[in-house]
Amino acid sequence: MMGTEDIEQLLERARFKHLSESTLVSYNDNQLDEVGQALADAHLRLCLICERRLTFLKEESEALESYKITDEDKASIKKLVGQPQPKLEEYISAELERLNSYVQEVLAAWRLPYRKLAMRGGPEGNESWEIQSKDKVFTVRTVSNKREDLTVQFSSTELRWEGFQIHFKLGSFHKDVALSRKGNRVTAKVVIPKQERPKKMRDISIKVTSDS
Amino acid sequence: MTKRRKRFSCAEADVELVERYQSGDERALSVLLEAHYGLIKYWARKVLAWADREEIMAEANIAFFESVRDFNVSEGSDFHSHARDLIRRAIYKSPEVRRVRRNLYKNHRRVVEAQERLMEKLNRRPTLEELSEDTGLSVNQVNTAINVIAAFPFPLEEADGYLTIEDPSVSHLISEAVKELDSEDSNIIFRYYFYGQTDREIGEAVSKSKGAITMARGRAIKKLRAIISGEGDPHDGD
Repeated sequence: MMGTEDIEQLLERARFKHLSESTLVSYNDNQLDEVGQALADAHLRLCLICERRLTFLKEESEALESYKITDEDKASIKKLVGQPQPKLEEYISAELERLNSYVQEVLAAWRLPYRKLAMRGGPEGNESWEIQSKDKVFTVRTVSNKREDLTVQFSSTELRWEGFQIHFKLGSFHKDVALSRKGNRVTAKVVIPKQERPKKMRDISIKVTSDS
Repeated sequence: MTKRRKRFSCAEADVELVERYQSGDERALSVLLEAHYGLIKYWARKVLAWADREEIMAEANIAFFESVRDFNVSEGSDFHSHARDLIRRAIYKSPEVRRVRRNLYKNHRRVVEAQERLMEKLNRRPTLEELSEDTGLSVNQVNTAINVIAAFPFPLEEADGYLTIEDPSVSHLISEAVKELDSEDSNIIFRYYFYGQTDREIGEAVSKSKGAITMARGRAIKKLRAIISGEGDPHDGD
């Protein structure tokens, strides 16, 4: 049961929390209920950042309201719709290249003498190892459970990579998985059963391809 | 429903067009693009001071294509918000903006930290001048930082502990519980917890003594506790 302090603490802190994008959009569209509206108002009275975010949403609404499509815009749209595929393919190719550069970074780290374990006895298994790109965009984590099956988890904040295929090979084990969206990240998971874990953990390759 | 939706499109029409495009109807994409081209241009304009217009529009257009291609119509969410999210992310991550991003975000931590401190201290929105004084940055630098954070908040939202965003489940819990209170009690809760008024100030506003407000607030909190724990209003049936 929630104690009195808990609800009081929640109420005391509530107005200092920044508004989520969906709350701001609902506020701008007058879609919040009375309490939600009051809480959003309370925060907006305090916060220059959220007030500015709201200003931009209002400006966007106004810009769309007054927006008149020009001949130039029409020509651009016609050009875009007439040739969407080459542009999209170029884009996909560039994104694959980006993802691949992160993968190479991970492989380089992995192939160092298979690293000293970063943690043992963690909450999700017996051992784990993690590498994260410097910009925190791409993370790979391995977890071994009590049966010594090894799970390799790929995770990224780059939502554009949703649907990209990862072709994972470790020793003779291989598996294809797709990055799928979970909240604000895209993730994929490969589980290597104990009996298929190779002795040489450095014998690894990871390739990425698009799903299209 | 916003004016935009009345005039240009609506959520249902967006979804229908997305479904048509995903089923192979290329004309639906033209209609969607015309309806949302202003959206693309609006957010692209935010970075034109530092970036080439054509390059940014190309990135934003591709993001729009993606938003149409990948939108999950069965989720019941808003296509416009989905498109806005992808367009802004694409602009932010474009090579054009990446070039200047380090400089753009250089002062942001200081500005964010100062604004967090000042909003609690002042119990109001700090001014640009106050932030400038607190951070040692110029008013113009503070204003630019606020503009960039507001236009592209996700890098800050997604960096642990940088910006504390509301937890929707907590907001929902508070909202549902406070709705159960009568108007007098909810008024006290709004004023005290949401607007930071003291019991004395609330008493003056509603012509009651400070002591009466303190007691009423205590009772309201007790009711909220009972509502949240599922016991209902403790005074029901008195």
